[in-house]
Amino acid sequence: MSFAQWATRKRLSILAIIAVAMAIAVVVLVVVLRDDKPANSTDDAIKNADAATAEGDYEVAFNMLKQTQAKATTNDEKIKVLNDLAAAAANAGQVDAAIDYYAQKHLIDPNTLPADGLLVGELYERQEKTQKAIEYYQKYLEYLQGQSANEFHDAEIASVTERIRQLEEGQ
Amino acid sequence: MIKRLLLVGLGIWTLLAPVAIVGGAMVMESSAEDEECQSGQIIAWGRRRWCGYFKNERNTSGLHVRVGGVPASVNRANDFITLIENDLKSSNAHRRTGAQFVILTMIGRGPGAPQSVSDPQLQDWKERVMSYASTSENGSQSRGPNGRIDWFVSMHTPCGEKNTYYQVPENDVAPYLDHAGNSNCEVASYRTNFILFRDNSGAVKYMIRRECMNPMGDLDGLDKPKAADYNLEPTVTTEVNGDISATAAEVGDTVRFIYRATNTGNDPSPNVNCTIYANVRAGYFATPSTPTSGNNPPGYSPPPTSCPKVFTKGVNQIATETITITTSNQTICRSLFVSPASPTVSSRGKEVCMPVANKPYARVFGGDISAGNGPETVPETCAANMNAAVVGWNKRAPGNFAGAGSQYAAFALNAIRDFASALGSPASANAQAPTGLSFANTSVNPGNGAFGGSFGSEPCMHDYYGDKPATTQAMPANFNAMITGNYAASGTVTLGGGVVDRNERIALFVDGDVFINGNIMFAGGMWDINETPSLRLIVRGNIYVSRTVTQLDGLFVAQANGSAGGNFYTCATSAAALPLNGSLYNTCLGKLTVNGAVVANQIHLLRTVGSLSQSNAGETNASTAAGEVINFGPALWLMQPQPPESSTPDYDAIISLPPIL
Repeated sequence: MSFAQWATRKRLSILAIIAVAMAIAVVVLVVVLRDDKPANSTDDAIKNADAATAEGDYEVAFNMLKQTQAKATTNDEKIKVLNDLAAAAANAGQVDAAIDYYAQKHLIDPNTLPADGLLVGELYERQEKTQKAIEYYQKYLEYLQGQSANEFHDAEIASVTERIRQLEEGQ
Repeated sequence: MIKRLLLVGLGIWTLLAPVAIVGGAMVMESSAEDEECQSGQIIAWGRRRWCGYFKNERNTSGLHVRVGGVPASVNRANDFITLIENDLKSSNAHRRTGAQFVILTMIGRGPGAPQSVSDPQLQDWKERVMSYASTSENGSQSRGPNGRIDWFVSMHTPCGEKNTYYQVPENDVAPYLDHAGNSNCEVASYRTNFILFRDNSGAVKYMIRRECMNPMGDLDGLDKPKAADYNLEPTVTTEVNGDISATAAEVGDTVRFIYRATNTGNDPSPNVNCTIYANVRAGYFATPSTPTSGNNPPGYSPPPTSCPKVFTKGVNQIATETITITTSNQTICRSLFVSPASPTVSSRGKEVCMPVANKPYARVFGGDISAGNGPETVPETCAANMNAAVVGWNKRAPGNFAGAGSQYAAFALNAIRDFASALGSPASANAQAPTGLSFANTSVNPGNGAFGGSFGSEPCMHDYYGDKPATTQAMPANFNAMITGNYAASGTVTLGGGVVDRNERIALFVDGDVFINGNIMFAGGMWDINETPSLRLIVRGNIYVSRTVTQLDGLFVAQANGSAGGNFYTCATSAAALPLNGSLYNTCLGKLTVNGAVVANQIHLLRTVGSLSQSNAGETNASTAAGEVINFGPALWLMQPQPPESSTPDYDAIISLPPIL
């Protein structure tokens, strides 16, 4: 190999190395930029709010979700956020707001109401609105009765039935 | 095989046991344990899945620990205690067992027999529960020294979480694990309500699902009650017209008391009572080391407080109270008590007293004030007093330097503190208050009370006693008996006061102390220049002015005799200096006006009438607020210098030379 051939090969090798380095840099940049974007802001917010709830920071969780509400665009997202907002409001002691969030959720998808009956009923019970509480417990009971049985299906029906009975007795 | 048979036998006994209970026979807890409960993974309190807490028997189905769960009305510790205690006393075995399980796992008792709760265990459990709620409760959350109870927490629990259930045949409670087949744990959005006992770090110590009263999670048990770590230090701070550094108030001032308690412990206090007392004492009263309880005079209405209240760590404000001072010479005290102050201190108090004092002040009109001029030993020779200062009370307020000051100049070899010069200068004058005629005024800061001084040098103080003529008349007993002439006396002399008539020019030389016991005034009316009266009281000793004297006309000189004397006291009750204590207020409560001049080694301005707060920028020599007013008028300077031996003083001309102040 002549010196000229050796020099040409070496130049090509250097160019190849530079090209590979630039390609790596571009890939890294793309990954970094993609990481900066929220993958799914409502899901992240719900996850973060759940973590805050587990820590007992109920106000924090509630505020996180309130800030996220506007970002929910699809009905599915809205239902998810409203479901968690209702829980977070209840945890933060804001019972009226919790009931309102559930109402908003049920407006979007009324089919979710029966399954929420236990939680909504308890919110009304906290407000000492016994009749409303019974109404929602009743919806939940009907929902339970329509579910397929599992290990504690009967136990759950028994408990809700007992709760309704106690409230009716107390009226 | 023998072992197997034994276990089967014991299992039969266990099945028969409920029959025995129903039949009223002696209740005997089974010691038999299910074989399947002897091996495998332990998931909670030493028990395997499906194996009962009390009997360790296996049963894979059952009911909720409390059918009906925890009613929503249970949102305070006492509600919870009542619910569980009632269940414990219930005739319903399910209720009873659920209560026993909750109590025993909350106090951390291990599994096994006996299936009962003793009185000490019940008491222990109540105390542990209350230790998470004894500080405050609001229906959503309770707080106590050990942590808090969140009464309604809507949250999702993941699959695999430990749960509990009631085993009906065994009358026991057993643990199991949530999974998709027995719960909605796989549905991320599924939430149920819990009661959470958290420690002070927020970690969950005990978790009860409300719907079923199933205890869930690790069930570590609640911490033993600990005494709350709180320690309250009450404080009362004061502000006078917004100034937190003020140590005394005056009539007209606004005094604000701020009541606080600082919790130096790590925990919030329980509900603590706060009591504020008021005590008003005559004169000056030092803040007592032991705070005063009770009111004097009675009938005090304390400011509203939010007590009883919880004091969080750090400073907690309790109340503020603002009063306007209307009476001087008193001390207004306020004390604050907090009860309890700590787990071991039933009550702690703090008292603060704010004296209401007069800040008396003197004013010089028509002349100057000078400090530091040394007594002349030989003509034009003296040793200046570089420590000589002019000190008063001044408002220090721009545009209103009311209080102590002179209409013209103020000289001092040392500091001029809170004493203004050029008071009353017209706006057009070059020299303006408060330091325009202060010598020197090269380094001033009136806002801090520095009004000048450090003049460097001053003329000597004339040796007036040296002017005593060789021939004098003996001072008569009656002041009014003196006519024009030079008089002399020695020892301690009391001057009863009197009138210097027109045409009378009296010089009285006293080698000793003089107590002036009455007003000395020039005769009233209008005088021709030739008939202007004159009085020169030249004392080689001290001059004491009775507290009853309101006016002195003339020149009053108190020179030192060696190292003694040379003091001029504006208030006295005899030829002796009054003690500088709280008695001055009542003793010296009158104004003294000197129409002339005062010369002394030291001038003690002791009159207490009025106070700085009552002074104003435009006040004249008729002011009723100033303690002493010195009017340097022409009646004095037209008649001086009076040649000691001359009976017919005469001047061809009098001229004023610069600087003209």
